[in-house]
Amino acid sequence: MPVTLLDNLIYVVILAFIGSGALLAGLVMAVFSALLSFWAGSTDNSVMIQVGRRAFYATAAMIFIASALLETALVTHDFSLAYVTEHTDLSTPIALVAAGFYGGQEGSLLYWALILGILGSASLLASARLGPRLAAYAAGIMASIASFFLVVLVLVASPFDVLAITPPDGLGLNPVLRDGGMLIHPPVVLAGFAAFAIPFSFAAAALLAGRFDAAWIAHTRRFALVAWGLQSTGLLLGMWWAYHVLGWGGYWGWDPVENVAFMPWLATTAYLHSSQVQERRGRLRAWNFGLVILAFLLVVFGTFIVRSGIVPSVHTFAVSAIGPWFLGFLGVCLVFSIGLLALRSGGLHNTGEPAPAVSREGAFALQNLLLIGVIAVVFWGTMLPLVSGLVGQERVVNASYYERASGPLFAAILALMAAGPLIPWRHAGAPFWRSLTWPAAASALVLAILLAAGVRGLPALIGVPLAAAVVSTVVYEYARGIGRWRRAGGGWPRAVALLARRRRRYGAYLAHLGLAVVVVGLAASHFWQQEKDVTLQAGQQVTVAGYTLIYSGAETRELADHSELVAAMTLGGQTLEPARATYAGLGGQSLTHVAISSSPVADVYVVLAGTNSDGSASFRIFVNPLVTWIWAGGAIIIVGVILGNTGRRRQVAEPVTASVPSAVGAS
Amino acid sequence: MTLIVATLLLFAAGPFVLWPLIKTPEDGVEVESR
Repeated sequence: MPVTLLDNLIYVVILAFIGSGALLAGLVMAVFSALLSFWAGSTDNSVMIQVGRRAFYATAAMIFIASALLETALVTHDFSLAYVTEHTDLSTPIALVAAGFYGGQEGSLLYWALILGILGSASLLASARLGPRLAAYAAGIMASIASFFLVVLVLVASPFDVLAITPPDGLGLNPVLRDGGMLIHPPVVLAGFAAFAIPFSFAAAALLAGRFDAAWIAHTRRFALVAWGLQSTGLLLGMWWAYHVLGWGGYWGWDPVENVAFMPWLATTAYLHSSQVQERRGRLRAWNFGLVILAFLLVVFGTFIVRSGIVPSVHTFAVSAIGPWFLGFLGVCLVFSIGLLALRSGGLHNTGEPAPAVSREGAFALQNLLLIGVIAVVFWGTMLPLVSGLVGQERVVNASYYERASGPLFAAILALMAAGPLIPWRHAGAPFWRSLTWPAAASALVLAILLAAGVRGLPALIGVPLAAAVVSTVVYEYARGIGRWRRAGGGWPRAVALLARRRRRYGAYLAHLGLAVVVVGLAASHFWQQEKDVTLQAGQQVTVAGYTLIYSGAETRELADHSELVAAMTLGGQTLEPARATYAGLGGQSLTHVAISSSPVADVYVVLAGTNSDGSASFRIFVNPLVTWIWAGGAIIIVGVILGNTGRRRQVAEPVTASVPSAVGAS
Repeated sequence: MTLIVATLLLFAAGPFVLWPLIKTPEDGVEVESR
């Protein structure tokens, strides 16, 4: 019909051509911004620095236009675009259709570029204190990263490719991704990945500009905290999703894709602590640069691992042909970063005095080394299939490798979390050793309780008491704060003022508290999980870890895009409905729907294995203690990060004991 | 077609990007630049 033809023509013209035109314009603008920013920065041309920065904002705007057009194409079911056809269909709920924006290769790259554009622009707008030169280099580096993504989007993986014939319906989203988790986990993880580019850009810019003072730390730390917060949330949401959707009773499988998201998080955790040593004591300068750069390199490495499919993973839906592009990008970033660090290593001497081993500085340094140790464990575990495949037979490690190799390191990190906040800067005297009484008493008490309860597993007997020690340290620090507040006269206005003044410290303690709660949840659900496979006739019951479930029968339900075989079970007054969903439109792909009854004590987790010809149904039932503590602890961490990162930051000046370059830079 | 759209978009973005070059000194220098 003419109207349909006209509609189609308008869509093709407006969406596909304006979309791909915006990407091409964005690429030109990004390259222009990169070249101009580097040149203007090196010649200190303030007008051109502004033009280069504005070109970056314009790049972000082009990416935003392309993103808005792709989203429009998705929600209007414009199947003339190959991307829309491949990742959505008419029966998919509209929220999931919208989530198709980052559900496929091309869209997720565009989403990454969009986050880079938004956060990069925000970081440049907030960079006035750094001086024009450093900010110009940062703009140049961010524009270079954006250029890479736009080159891939324009040349290799355009989301605006038009099909020769427009199909009446699309192929639909992978069933595993058809879940509420799809709406939050991938965008947060991808945003976290993209956010690591900001601290990297400012660190590399500081090196380029020869600015080694703590100014770049103060600016970068906030964006590193944003990246860290996003990545923490993304990892937790991924665990939550795996737990609720994949149906194997767990939440973390040491899958390569999980590992590569975990490693930048570890590196940034190290940086967030070591950066304080530079701010307060003028030490660990080269180390801080190295950590920020490492976090970004790990992100690019991770993206290469996920997209290339070079090591076996459950995230195979992300595999594509752009792997080599990311390998090339990783190579360029690696050469650039190492070259820059080597070039500037002469100026990266420490200004502060060295501190004794038992001091806050020493605790941070040890914690950093332990975190790097964990990164090494995870890295080699992830790379083993590849490395071993190159020299002979391909070998794969299982979860026990990671647990045994990183477990002692995590235990030492927990011990440091308990003692570290109590250790003063420079020197630890008798008051510190006395203050250790609290965490030591708390861990001894919890250890005694565990032993009395009959717990004999060494990991649990070490991990849970250490988590208790961390909690007691946080409570002790908060109690000291309350004491200070009372001595000052009490009252709400003073409490708010005290919290506001020391929000970074109290936010960090809250994050520590959240992590301790997460550790207790991880330990309990890991070490005390109970599992049972049963086959039941309707009316029969089964008891697992004191929870009695009665099977009341199965039925088949027809839904919009799939059919479900639902088996009802009663647990007390509650009905659980584990199911198996079959997607006829996707070649009969089948997916399990887990039923979970959650409480603060334990989750009862029921998976329907299938129904049998005699009318019976087979189930796998797990009782997972304290899993809700993981999610609650995660929420506490996020609140801590938000609390510690809001409002204007009090500038902590690095001790000036050597010549500090001027605002313009020294090189 | 893509090329034409890209050119038009770049053209449209021109005044914003080049504003620091376009404005006269009397308009005032942006504080952050110096």
